[in-house]
Amino acid sequence: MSRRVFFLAGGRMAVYHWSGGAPLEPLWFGADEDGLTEFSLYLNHAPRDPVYMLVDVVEEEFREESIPHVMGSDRRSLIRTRLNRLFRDPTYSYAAVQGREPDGRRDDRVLFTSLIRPDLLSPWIGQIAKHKVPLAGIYSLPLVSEALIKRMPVESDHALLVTLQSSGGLRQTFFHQKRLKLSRLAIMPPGGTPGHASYVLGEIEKIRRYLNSLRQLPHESPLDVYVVGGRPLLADITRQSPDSLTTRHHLMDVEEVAEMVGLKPPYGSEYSDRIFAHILAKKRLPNQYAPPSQTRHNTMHRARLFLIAASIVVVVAGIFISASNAVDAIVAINETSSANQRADFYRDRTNIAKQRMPKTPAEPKNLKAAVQMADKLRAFQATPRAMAVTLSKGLSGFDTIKIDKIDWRASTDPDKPIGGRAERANVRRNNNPGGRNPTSGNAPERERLYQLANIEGSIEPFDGNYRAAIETVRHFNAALLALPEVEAANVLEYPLDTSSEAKLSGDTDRKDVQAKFVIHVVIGTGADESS
Amino acid sequence: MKAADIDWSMLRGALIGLGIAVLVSAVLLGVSYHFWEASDQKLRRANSTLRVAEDEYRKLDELEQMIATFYPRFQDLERDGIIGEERRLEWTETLERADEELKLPDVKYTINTQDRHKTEFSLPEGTYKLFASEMNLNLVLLHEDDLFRLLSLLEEDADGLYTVESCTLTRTRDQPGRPDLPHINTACKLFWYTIRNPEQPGAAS
Repeated sequence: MSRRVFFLAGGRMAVYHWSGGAPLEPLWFGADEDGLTEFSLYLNHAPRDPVYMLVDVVEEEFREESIPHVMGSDRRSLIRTRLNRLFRDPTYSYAAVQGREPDGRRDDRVLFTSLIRPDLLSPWIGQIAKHKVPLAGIYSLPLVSEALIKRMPVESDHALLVTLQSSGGLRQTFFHQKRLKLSRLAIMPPGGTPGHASYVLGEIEKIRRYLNSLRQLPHESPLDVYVVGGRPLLADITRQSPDSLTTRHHLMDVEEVAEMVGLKPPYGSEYSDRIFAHILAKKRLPNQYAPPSQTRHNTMHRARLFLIAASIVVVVAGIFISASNAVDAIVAINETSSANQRADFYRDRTNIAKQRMPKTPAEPKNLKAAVQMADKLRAFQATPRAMAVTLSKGLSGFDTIKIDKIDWRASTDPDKPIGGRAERANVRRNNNPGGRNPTSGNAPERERLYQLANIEGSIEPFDGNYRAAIETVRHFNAALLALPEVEAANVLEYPLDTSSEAKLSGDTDRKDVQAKFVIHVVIGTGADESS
Repeated sequence: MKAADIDWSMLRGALIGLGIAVLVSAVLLGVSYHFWEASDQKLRRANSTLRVAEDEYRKLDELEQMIATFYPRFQDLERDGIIGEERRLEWTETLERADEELKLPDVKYTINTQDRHKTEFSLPEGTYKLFASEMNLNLVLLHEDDLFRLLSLLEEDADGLYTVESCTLTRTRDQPGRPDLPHINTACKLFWYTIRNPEQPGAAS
């Protein structure tokens, strides 16, 4: 993204643009009516790139104070209160938290700074706002110097950075452990280089004394002064052998410093303006002095860029996903065609094979089902013959028992009622633990055909001895139960019902008495299949 | 930033651009998705058809084996009158022949209309269904063996397959000196089974 730096110093505005990563020669605008008109014309025609405004003015104050260590909105509120108290007009003010006190409550050490003459900026800011130019921020040159000194070979805890600006300003910025503590701008007198060197050294001595009076300097070591300037000035300073017990000078060619911050040689100036402009443009430092109302158009500019980026992302994503869908669809069409061809191939082969098969009245699976149905019907076919055979075997040895009636039926349910008379067959016979229970255990339920019969009979001849008749019936029932095919045999009615629940009547003359009984028999047949 | 601080003139163009971008993307996505979905549905149908065709082709051997195994038996069952139309006339003729052969004192029968029949046990599923006609047999017998001989003759001679559902045999009082008189009354309920395809009325094949 393109950007530009407006450098306000000495009552003039220099506008820097970049080309190929290097700053171009600046455009200059004076603070008078003509300058502002030209500035307005420039803003009107220049592209709407964000503006980083760097300010280097005498009217800037620095105060270092301690505030309680709090966070979040409390800290912001505390800092705002302190700024209002420290500065008469805090429109352009800033606070940099620089660490904590080593003792006591370990309060935060904060450097408060402010441009105490907002009116110096007003004409420029007014034009910027009028043309809706996105103002990214207003920056203090001493604060930006922190970024410069971090790139320089400075090892001393106490360092004084001296730079010269094209506006005629001599900026002296004092750092403790590369943290800005104090800065002062002096105006260089007009004249030649030899005079400048003496003036620079004089100003350095002045600020050293001031720092000493503030007890900012150590007693045991000299103050390290880093002078950034052109070779003639540095040579002149060298000739004056300025080092002493209290001051040690490090003379740094502005060309070398420009290389340290990434500017390609040749630098082409003896002043540091472009170095600071370049640092500011490259570092994208957060805004320092501009209130939100003055960065409003920058916020709009960023929102606009975000919307444009979002539009591009939406369109690109839409095209990408749509293209992906289209590719998938084309692949699917090709695969469909291939699948249809293969299906036709198999169908043709199947039809040819089927034509060779014998004609059947139905699908083979239905033929199979019909045949299996007939097989199962045969397997479950029933006649009373098996029951008759069983009864014949059971009656062997019971000559006095006559069968009067047999109610018979076939069913898969051994408890099925016969002739409206429901009896539990109780095929789980207790006297046969290894009984032929078709549903016992965990085996799958099996379908089995049973033959059920109610056998009505009588004891003939009967002499009226019910005890003997009952005993005969019991023996007959036991004989039936002993047959292997019999699943259950229960006496439903004895010749005489002697239970307490029944009404009992008789004739002791024993004339025309009968000994009738009913036995329920269940036998299993051969059909026995898994369901 | 408050809403009042927003400079809509700076954002208007970008917002319109975003709206157009969203619209264009939505149209592209909608059209391409519809295209893909339609193609994918056709592909799924084609794959399904292919699987069916492949299965059918793979099962040809099984079909041939099935026909070789079951079709002759199916034809036998058709000949035996178990598959196809029921043959009531043959049943009655067989009954009459049995009556003559066994010289039964009295044979009465009724055959009800044929209906779909459900057995107590499970049967294989298919297009062929089970139908049954209920026959009620009332016999007067000299001996109970006559019942079983009659049933055997029915099974051997009559076309079709039957099962006896229930029977009641009642002994009448013997008359001393007259062993030639009938002394067993029998009432039996039979089901004559027929297997046929209800969707092919009138013929099994």
